[in-house]
Amino acid sequence: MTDPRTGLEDGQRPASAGDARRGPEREARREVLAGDARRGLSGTGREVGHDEAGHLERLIDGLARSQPPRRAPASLEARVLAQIATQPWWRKGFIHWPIPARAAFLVASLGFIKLALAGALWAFDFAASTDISGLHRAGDAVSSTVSLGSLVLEAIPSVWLYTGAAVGFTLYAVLFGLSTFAYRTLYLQR
Amino acid sequence: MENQAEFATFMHAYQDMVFSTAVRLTGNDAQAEDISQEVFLKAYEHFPTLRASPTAGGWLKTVTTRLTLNHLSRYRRRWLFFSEMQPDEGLDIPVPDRLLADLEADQRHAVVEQALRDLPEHYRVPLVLYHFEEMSYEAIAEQLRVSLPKVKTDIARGRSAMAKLLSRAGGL
Repeated sequence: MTDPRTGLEDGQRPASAGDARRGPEREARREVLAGDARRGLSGTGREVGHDEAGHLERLIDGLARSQPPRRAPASLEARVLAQIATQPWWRKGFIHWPIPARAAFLVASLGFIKLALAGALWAFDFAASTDISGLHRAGDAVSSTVSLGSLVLEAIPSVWLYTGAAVGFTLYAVLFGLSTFAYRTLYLQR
Repeated sequence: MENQAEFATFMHAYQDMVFSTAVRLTGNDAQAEDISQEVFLKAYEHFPTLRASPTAGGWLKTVTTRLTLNHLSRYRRRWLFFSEMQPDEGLDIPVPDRLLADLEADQRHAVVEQALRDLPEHYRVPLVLYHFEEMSYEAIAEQLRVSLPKVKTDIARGRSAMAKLLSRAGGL
């Protein structure tokens, strides 16, 4: 049966938005697959002399292409329509809002823009009329903190630093190994 | 009310496609139904433009893929990390000339859907995006935020894993 909206037969897939983004490798693959399709459902890769990986790719692709869409559960449509019916107007798209609400929203938006512009102008005037000693104080605080940090680092013997780094790295490696072991034994075995 | 009836027709035309994309990516019917519901609620918000758009199907597919990947993202870090450590098992069975050729179409479809469900997520997601959603390697790498070589490796391993699953199902 042909879908009146998409013009597609049952089981055919509609074009996706990704079509335009597909690279040249996809086009090359299409040509190979078209050749395979002429030979049968899945093709016989050995006849065309491709390597095993390419042959497996074409087999899986053949299966994917012949796979019809899964039927959506009967409850889906009812769920969506019920959700739409119970949605308050402000949760719907702007186009579905009542006209007075749309008008009020536009007025409020214009007021907000005016307020934001007035606020920005006021902030600019304020910044221009006050001194910037606060910024100097903040800069001094940052440079003092940096100096203190470098003093502390210089006071610690370098052996301690290297030992600390080695201990940290060892603990990290042990944790990494343990998590790998746990994943392989507990998760992959399931 | 007329709008809702029109939307119901629209939904009827696309719901199988949306659900298929979601269920093949998640491997879970209940999650896929939740995601499909979310997709159509978004579609309803944009219905005035979508109703006459020839690219509505593409829009729905893109939104479904994005929402499903968002849904899976809480696990994504985990499988990205651990899939790096997977040994390359290879396909320890000969690659057959044909797959599932002896089965009736209905049986073949059911076996393929089951194999997709049974695939580990870090194989299923890139494999479905490539073979079922027909995205390029580059687009998949961009969507999953991983490198191009990793996408190619994961898809190749996913094919081998799927072939094994189909073999176990008696399809080879």
